[in-house]
Amino acid sequence: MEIDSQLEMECDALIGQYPQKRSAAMMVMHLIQERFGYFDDTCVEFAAKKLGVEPIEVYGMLSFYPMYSDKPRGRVHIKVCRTLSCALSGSVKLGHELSKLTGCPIGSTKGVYTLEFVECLGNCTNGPNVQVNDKLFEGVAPEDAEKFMEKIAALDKSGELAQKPASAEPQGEGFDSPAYKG
Amino acid sequence: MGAKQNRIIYRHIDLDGWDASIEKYMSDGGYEVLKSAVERIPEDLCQEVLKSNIRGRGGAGFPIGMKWKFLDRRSGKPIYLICNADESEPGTCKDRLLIYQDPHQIIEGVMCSAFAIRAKQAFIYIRGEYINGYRVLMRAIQQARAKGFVGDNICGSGYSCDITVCRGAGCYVCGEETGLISSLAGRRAYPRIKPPYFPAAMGLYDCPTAVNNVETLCWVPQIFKLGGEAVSKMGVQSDPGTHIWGVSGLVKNPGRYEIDSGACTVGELLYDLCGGPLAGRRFKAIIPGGSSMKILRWDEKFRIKGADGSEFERRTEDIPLDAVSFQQCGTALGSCGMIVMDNTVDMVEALANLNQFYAHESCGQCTPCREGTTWMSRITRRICEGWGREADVDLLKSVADNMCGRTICALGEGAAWPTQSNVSKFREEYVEKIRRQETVGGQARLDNNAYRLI
Repeated sequence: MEIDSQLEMECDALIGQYPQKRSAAMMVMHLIQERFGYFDDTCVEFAAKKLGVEPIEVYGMLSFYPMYSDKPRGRVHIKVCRTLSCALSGSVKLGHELSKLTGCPIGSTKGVYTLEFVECLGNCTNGPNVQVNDKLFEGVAPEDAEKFMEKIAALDKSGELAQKPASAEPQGEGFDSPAYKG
Repeated sequence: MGAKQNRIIYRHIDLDGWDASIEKYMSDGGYEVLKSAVERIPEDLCQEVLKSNIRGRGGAGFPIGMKWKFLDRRSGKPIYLICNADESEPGTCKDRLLIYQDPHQIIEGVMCSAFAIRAKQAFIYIRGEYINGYRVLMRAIQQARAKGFVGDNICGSGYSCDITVCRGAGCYVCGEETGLISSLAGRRAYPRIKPPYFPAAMGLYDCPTAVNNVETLCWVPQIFKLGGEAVSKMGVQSDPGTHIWGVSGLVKNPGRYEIDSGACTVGELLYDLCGGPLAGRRFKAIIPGGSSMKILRWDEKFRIKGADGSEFERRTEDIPLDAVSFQQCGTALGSCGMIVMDNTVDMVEALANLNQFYAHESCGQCTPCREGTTWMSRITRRICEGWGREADVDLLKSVADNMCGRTICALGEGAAWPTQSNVSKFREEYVEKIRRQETVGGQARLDNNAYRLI
């Protein structure tokens, strides 16, 4: 992967905010994940060099935190919350429905889609919750799975669904403004 | 009595015409508390917080005044303040709205606290999934910095402190304070053993560190504004202030409700504010505060000893909503994320769902938790799938009992409590499920379940 000077600069800016270089690891790794979609050896070594640690330390974090990945993911990354509150409102069924509709077995990538069950997304009162890239969709009933996927496909086509960097402006007026409400 | 909301921390949430900008916040008296606080003596402010007797809102319920008092000020090392916004306890979603809709309240809380404990730098550790929340916070901090409320020479007082926001990456154990500190130090989020790693003495970079929940820090400006004594008189004496109850699961109107502590009972919350069970259903069980707390049967009765020594009986629906009342019933209110289950819910599946969560989120550092959570998850799953054994019920309990108190952090206990309480309170369901699968073969799974939770 190409590491450009822009990325280096952004990393340096993040590292500058912490009393110790290594503390910026979480943010630097998010930045790399955002830019390339996953980590290969070049990325790991780059992060290690920036943070002043051995590559194995970066790899240790990469394998520990679920949001970092060492494999490419689909352009549309669908995360369905499976923890109790959402499960009580039908998210497990929803996950299986989405799997049928996308043709993507749960926990895998197929075409543009990556479909996963994840643990609590932190919006328990409005389940079932689905996070697609950086957008949260709440109250997606399993019966509406088909309608939901149509919406996702349309949003994907129009480019609205594309993952924006964390440094982007807040989307909407500080609210999570779900593009879809079931 | 009767259930009534009293919105203090949530005063701006879902207001018409409200947005997350600094202008809106300042038009409602925002940052006035910070302006007056920086003219006072930090020790006095800490004393106010101690007097208020407010408990932490993150789950453990430890009084913040005490937490700050334990900060090691004599070591000469810098003090750090960390705002724990890594809200990942299942059922808990109260901080989310504060971050998204009222970020300036959090920033004011962080700055007031930082000044009171004389922190050198403040951090907000926000969970990775709240990516838009991170953006909202970053913009809010920028606005506050431009107005001189964050950064150098705050409100002309000569005190300087900056806020750095760090994102988590989908890890539950980062909500545990020492785990969070490890993560913030750029390592795997392995919790550290206490002693010696009490954050108040050996926290971030082995310096004294205060780690407080978002809602807790939002209380600090309230304490400074109203005075510790006044705040300590809100609600019940043993647990002053309000609680933000996030009710999720099978009720008519799930949602977040801010209520004075002890002002109403579980039944009033669920029937008056949440509209009762879904049509044609009955309540069966509640988990009072985030999934790690012990479950309560709806038809359970508790023998309570009153202050005057007299004994009386209390039903689950009559438990007042405050910390001590829940403790008397053998559970805790934790982070006030109540999960409600009704008669259609299969308790074995519900537990299997939670056990899968803990097995996934155990950091794998210490053996009892790493092996125990996975083992319990496999046992409950096989009971659900029709492969349970008669000895499984006791085995589950024994695994859970052997985890308690033998792990580095509280995740071990938090994972064992659901199993312990579930198995002992709904034992007949486990026995029945295992017995039926023996007589009808693998058909047990095709029971008339309205929900499949795993």
